[in-house]
Order: sequence, then C-alpha cells, then structure tokens
Amino acid sequence: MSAVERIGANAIGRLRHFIYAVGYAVEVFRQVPRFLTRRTVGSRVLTMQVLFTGVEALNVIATISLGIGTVIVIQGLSLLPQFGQGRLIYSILIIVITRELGPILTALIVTARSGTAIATELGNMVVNHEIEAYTITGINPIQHIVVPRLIGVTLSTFLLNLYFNVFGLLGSFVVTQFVNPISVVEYWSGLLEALSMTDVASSVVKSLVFGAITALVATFYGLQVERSSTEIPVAAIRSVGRGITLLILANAVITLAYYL
Amino acid sequence: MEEMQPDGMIAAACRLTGITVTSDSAPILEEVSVDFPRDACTVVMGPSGSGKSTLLKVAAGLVVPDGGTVEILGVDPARATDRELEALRLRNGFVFQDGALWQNMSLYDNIALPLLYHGVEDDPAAVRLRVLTLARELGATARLDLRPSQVSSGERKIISFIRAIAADPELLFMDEPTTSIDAERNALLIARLRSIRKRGATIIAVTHDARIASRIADFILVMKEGRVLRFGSLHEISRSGDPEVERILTDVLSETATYDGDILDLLDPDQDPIV
Repeated sequence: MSAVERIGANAIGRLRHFIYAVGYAVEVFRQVPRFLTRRTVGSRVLTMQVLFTGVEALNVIATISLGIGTVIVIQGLSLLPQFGQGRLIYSILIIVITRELGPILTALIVTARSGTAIATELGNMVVNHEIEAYTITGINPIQHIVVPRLIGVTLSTFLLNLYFNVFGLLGSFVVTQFVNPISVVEYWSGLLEALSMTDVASSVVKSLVFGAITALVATFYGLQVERSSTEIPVAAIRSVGRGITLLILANAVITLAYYL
Repeated sequence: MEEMQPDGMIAAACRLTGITVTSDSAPILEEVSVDFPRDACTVVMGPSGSGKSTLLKVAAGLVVPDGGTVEILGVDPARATDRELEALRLRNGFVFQDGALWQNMSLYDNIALPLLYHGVEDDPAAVRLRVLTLARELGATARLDLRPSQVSSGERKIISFIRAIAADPELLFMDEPTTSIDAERNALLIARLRSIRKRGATIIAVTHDARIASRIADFILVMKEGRVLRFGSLHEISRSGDPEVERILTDVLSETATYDGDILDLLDPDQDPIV
C-alpha cells in the first residue's frame, strides 16, 4: 500500500468512525424519551450516577472554586484600583467564574473523575458479557445503561457549575474582607449589577452541553471495548483525551456565539 | 451450500441460512445453514474452536454475522423494529458460558431485573415470589442479596440459568450450562430442563456434558472447523458409523467423563450416564 493509499484509508477510517459516533449520539438521544416515559428500573442507575458524579465531587469543586475566586480577587484588587477601575472586579468575577471557568473547569473535573470511571465500568461490562446479557434479556443497553448516565452526568455538571459559582463568588468575598473590607450588601449588589441574563444563559448552556459531551464520549469509548481487559485502560485514556478536546472546542464555539 | 436439518423435522424455531462469521480475517463459521427444530432439544457438540459458541450467539441474534440471514421464532432480528426485538427477547432465554451476571447488582436483582423491566409480573411481590421459588427449586443456596463476585462460579451459573428461564421462554439457548455445577444441582438443572422441554419449549445447548445430551437431546449437531459436520437425531448421530463423527464425539465426551465401556454409550438415554 502506497503512502497516498494509506493516508486515504486512514481518512476514510476516521470519517467512518465520526459517522458512527454521530449515529451513536443520535441513538442515545432517541432513547431519552423512552427512558423517561417507560416504567423502568433504570432510575436507580440515574440516582447512583448523580451521587457519584455530583455529590462525591462537591469537595473538590468547592476547593478549586474557592481557590480561583481568591486568586481573582487578590490580583484584581491589587491592580484595578491603580487605574481607578476598582468596580471592574465584579465584571471580571462574573466573566471568569460564571461565564468561563465555572462551566469548563467543572466539566474537566467531571471528565477526569466520572468520564474515566464510566468508560472503565462499561469496558468491563463488555468484557464480562454483561452488555450481551442486557441485550438477550430484551433490556436495551443504551436505554438502561447509557441514558441514565447521560442524564446523571449532565444534571450533575449543571448543579456542580452552580455550586462552583456559589463557592467561587463566596470565596472571593471572604478574601475581600482581608484585603479591602466591604459590606455584604455592597459586594452582592456589585455582582448582581455586573451579572446579565446572557451570562447566566451562557453558563447554563455550557454546563448542559459539557455534561452531555462528557457522558457521550465516556460511554462511547467504554462500549468500544471489544474483547480484552487490556483495551479498558486505553478506552479510559481515549475518553478523557477526546472528551477534553471536545469540551474545549465546544467552549470556544459557545463563547464565540456569545459575542456574535 | 447444503442446508442442514434433521429428518422428520416439522418446523424451525431458529433458521440460519448461509451464515459466515470471521474474526481478524479468520473464518469462525463458514456458510452454515441450519434449521433448529421447534419444540425439541438440539445439542451442539464439537471440538474446542469449532465455532459452537459463535453459532449459538448468531442463532440467538447476539452476534451479527458477516454474511447470511437469521430467523428466530419467525423474526429476522436484523430487520425487526425495537418493539419486535424486545418482544422476541422476552420469548428467549440465554445461559452464558461464564454466567455473564451483572456485577453491580445483587443475585436477586440479576434475576428480577428482566421481569420488572418487561412487567412480566405487575406486582413486585409476585416477582419476589417467582425469584425465590426458582432459587429454592434449583438449589441456589447462596444469599440472594450477595453480589456475583461473592459466590462460587457454580452458584453464578445457577443464577444465570434461573435468569434465563424466569420468564418461561419459548426458546432457550445454553452455552455449557452445567460447567462447574456440582452433581446434586446438576441433577436439579437437568430435571428442570426436562420439564421445560415437556411444556413444549425449544432448547439449543452447546455442551460437552453427556448427561445433558443423553437426558434431554432430541437432536445432535456435530461441528468441525466452523462447519456443520452432521445433524440428526440422537440415535442417528451416536450410531452413525461415521468414523469422523464418532471420533469427535468420543473426544468431546472424554473431556467430561470417564467410562470403561464405549463412551458413545453415554449418549444412550437408557444408560446411566453418571460416572
């Protein structure tokens, strides 16, 4: 096979993989209403996913958001007043925490924790023939395994983003008390003045899209495992790598749309 | 392509036509055409690597063949809608070689989940009663609140069997159902298979166990290197006089039994097969 043929075959392979992945995503979303409407026992999978992805990530999200809020306030308050722009700190907090870092950092943490866990769990299920067992018993694996994880991860990412915002903005207020003490009312009114509905919408849309991307990529690569347990770590690594790439691309697209 | 079906067969529960399956360019099944008789038990035998388990999974619609068509209880799974497929699955049961239990659930949930999912019983209490009754009848002695990893492989196999038969399937597929099960529960399992067979269900089993073959088989299908070598009634096959078939059966049965006489006697239903 010549170099050109190899490049061509590689391109065709990637195109097929992409089309397959798109088809997978369509099938997952097609199964969402069926999961929600049928009397199903999959709600336990959903609850467990929310507990793992959402509740168990609260500490790490709180720590990171507090730290970031602190850094922004320290840097902002040391620099902005020199230019007579002290009140700009509120806009910066909203832009950085609510609109940008909140959704993307939350999604990256969810990808690192839950994305790898989901890909590994599903890969193991494939190797142990558990997916075949679902199929043969007439339980649609997409509906019973993938959809609850999609809903669970998306919901968790959305809620964790809210939590990130609360802690990030709260943390910055606590630090402000040490650097430049102001009243609670002044601080929160400054934030609310800087906050627009577009910021909230952008943050909400991003967290929902990022949660869906994380779940879809993790389940897709987990189910790509075919027969050997040695494929499982590879699937987990791919799910994180591709997941992060897609998250950053999606973030760029949504941010761009915000300014158009 | 020769279609294999035993003489005197009335109707097919499962029809495979021109089935080809390859893995990494190596053929596993080559142009296999088989009609598995309805309301009968067919035991598939053959040396390791002859494609028995793959044939079973193709017949159950679990493996999509590279070529050929499959018809299960009159339904082509490749063309069926989601609802048709779900209804078809409810009429089937499958015992996996390794049990294939859901590791993140209790043994009880492994059996109850399909019943609850399909609404086989409206009342969870009725599901519970059905699960506990089956577990007791088949000698599942482990606590049903345990996870599969906490019990023996024999116990897992029994639970896998109970899961497969819990919804009273019309068509039961089994891949080595008696492996790692002790003699006492083996006898319970065979007795249950005989009663399933009596109520008119179709059974297709891959096994090396002479006890299953002699006690419940109506037909034997002998495979070699991805092809069907012979398919006929138990008597026809065990006394076919075909030296290749006899050699394969002797090799297969020798793996699980020791016997001083002619080992093909083990396929005789009148012979005491417990050795």
